[in-house]
Amino acid sequence: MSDKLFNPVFSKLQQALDLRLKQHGLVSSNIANANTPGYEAQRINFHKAFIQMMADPSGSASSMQARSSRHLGGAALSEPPIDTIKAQAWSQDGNSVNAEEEMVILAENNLLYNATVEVLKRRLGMLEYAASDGGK
Amino acid sequence: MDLLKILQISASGLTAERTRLQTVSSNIANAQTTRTEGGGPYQRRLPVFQSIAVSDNPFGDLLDRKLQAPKVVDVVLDTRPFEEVYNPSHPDANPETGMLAMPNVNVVEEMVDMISASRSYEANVTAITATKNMALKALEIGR
Repeated sequence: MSDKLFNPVFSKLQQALDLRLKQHGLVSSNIANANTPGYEAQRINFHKAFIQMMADPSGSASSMQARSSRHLGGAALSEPPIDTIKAQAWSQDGNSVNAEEEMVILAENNLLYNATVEVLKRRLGMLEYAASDGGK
Repeated sequence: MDLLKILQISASGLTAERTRLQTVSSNIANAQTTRTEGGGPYQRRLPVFQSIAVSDNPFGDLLDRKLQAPKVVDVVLDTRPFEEVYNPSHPDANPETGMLAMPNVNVVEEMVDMISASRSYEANVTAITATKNMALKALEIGR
C-alpha cells in the first residue's frame, strides 16, 4: 500500500538529494584543498549516476551487493561514479582544483538541491491535499 | 557523509588558510629583522599543506574515504640565500666587508600569497554558507 502511496518518484527524489549532498561534500573538499600540492579534484559524474540509478530496479539509494561469498552484507555498497580530474601539465604542484569551476558547481549544485527539495515538498503537499479530502 | 562532516572539511580549509595568512604576516613583519634567537637574519617561513582523509573507517562509505581535509603539517624555513646589503654602520654587519645579511623575504611575493590566502578563505566561507543553506532547506521538507 505504502509502495503505491510513496511511488518510485519519492525514492528517486531521495536518491537525487543524496547525490547532490555527496556532490556538495566533494566540491567543499575540493575548495578546502585548493592550495594542497598534489590534490586531485573529484566530483560525481551525474550522467553515469543517472544511468546507474535508472538501471537499479530496487530503487533504493544503496542496495547491498556482496561481491564475495565471504562478505558480510553491507560492506560492499554500490557507490556513485566519481570522476577524478587529473592535473594539467602546467600545474606546478600537481593540484587540479580550478577555483572558478568549483564555485560554479557549488552554486549550481546548491540550486538544484533546493529545486529537488521543492519538488519533494510539492509531492508531499499533493498527498496532504488528498488526505485532507481535497482541502475540506 | 553528512552536512556536519562537510562543515568540518570547510573548517579545516579555513584553519589551513588562516595559518598561511599567519606565516605571511610573520614574514612581512620580519622583513627587516637582522637578529634572531638562532642567530643570523630572519628566515622566511612556509606552511606545508597536506590533504588527509576525513574518515579511515574501512566499513564506512567509500565516498567518506575519498573526502580529504587539508591540514598544515609543518612550517618550514625557506633556504634561499639572504640578501646582502652594504651597510657598514649596522651593528650586525660583517666588520671586515661591511655587508649586512637581510632576511630572504620578498614583500611583493608575500602580498601575492596574502591575497591568494584571503581569497581561498572567502571561498571556504562561501562553501560553509552553501552547506548551511542546504541544511535549512532540508528542514523545510514536509513543512
